[in-house]
Amino acid sequence: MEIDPPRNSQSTQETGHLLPCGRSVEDVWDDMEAGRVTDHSLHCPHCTTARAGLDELTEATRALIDDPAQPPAGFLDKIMTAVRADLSLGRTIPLPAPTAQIDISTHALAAVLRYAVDGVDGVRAHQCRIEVSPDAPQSVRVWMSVAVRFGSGQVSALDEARVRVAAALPERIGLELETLDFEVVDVWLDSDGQEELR
Amino acid sequence: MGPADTTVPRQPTGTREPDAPGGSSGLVELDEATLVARARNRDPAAFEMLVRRYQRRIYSLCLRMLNGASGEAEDVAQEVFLTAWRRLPEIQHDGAFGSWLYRTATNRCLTVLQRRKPVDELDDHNTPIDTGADADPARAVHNSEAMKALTLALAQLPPPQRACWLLREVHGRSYQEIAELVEATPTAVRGRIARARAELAEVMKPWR
Repeated sequence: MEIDPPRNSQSTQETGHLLPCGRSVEDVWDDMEAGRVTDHSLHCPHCTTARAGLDELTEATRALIDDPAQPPAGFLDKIMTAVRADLSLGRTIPLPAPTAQIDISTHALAAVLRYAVDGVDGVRAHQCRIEVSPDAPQSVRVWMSVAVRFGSGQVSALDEARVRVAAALPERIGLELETLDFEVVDVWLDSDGQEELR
Repeated sequence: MGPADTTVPRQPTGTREPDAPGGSSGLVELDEATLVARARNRDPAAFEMLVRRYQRRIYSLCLRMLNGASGEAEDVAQEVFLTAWRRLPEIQHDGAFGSWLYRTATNRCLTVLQRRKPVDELDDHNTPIDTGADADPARAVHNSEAMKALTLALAQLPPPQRACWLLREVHGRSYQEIAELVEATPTAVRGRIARARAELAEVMKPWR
């Protein structure tokens, strides 16, 4: 039987897995990947054995991909408990109240405002920064970064988002909106992307 | 086998792990960049969705890197997510969150392995990972045996080689990304993966 010389000396040197026929396991793999069938590979027992091992490896790898291990019970809860404890140390702002002082976390307030913006088709709230107005303690200045859907209608969608934020503040929190700056930081297409499987 | 060597695309709207419940937060339809931006802004609901999306992948990677030591894998994976929460402001690109998790998890696992005594590396008290159910019992038995063989063979590989193989073949990361992670060239990474593949294929022969 004629023995082909190693095709790819670089990969052979890298892998160091030379078969007795002179080819490397990586050469066999490359042939499998490319769907190449040579006369040598059809008749060589060493290449055939290597191919069988690679076939088994491919199948077992597929099984690993399809069946990732489940995190233990309580995994997510432990992380989120620590996250919320971390948040409790965050900044607060005072709410207008007739008697005792009540503060609200800026994180919680930001969540309310993001929720108001999420109600508008074509806009997604990203980051939100809130400051109490130095001139009027019952008013806040808001800066929010947003993503908008590609195409027409962004301006009207942002206008609607502005109205919703201005309404949510007094209705849900008891504060007034002094200023609201939107910064568009991203644009998305409804049909973009390719599903990430792993 | 082996996915195309491209950057992993940003998760599109609505993509999530198969077991990630939608919940009542209404965040399930948001794309990953939005979730990362919100989490950076200290929104726990957005961060929770990110953890749900990645927890199986990161935990699986840790478990296989650490040869089935589930307690250590849980500790490392939790530490990775908590560090992510604290360091989100340093992750400049919203689309780089997944890469950051994989990089941190791999490096933490490599550190844990370096600290282990050599005998622990081949610790056969660690149970091979459960392979789950399969519709065809004969195939399930075969897969189970093959997966046990693969899991044991993985444990014999040098940890950096194991990391490269897992990240590429199981988690679909790009050669460039892995190269940055292990501070090597993409060519060197290809070499490591080729060596790992040859070792693993050698062990898999009896299961044909």
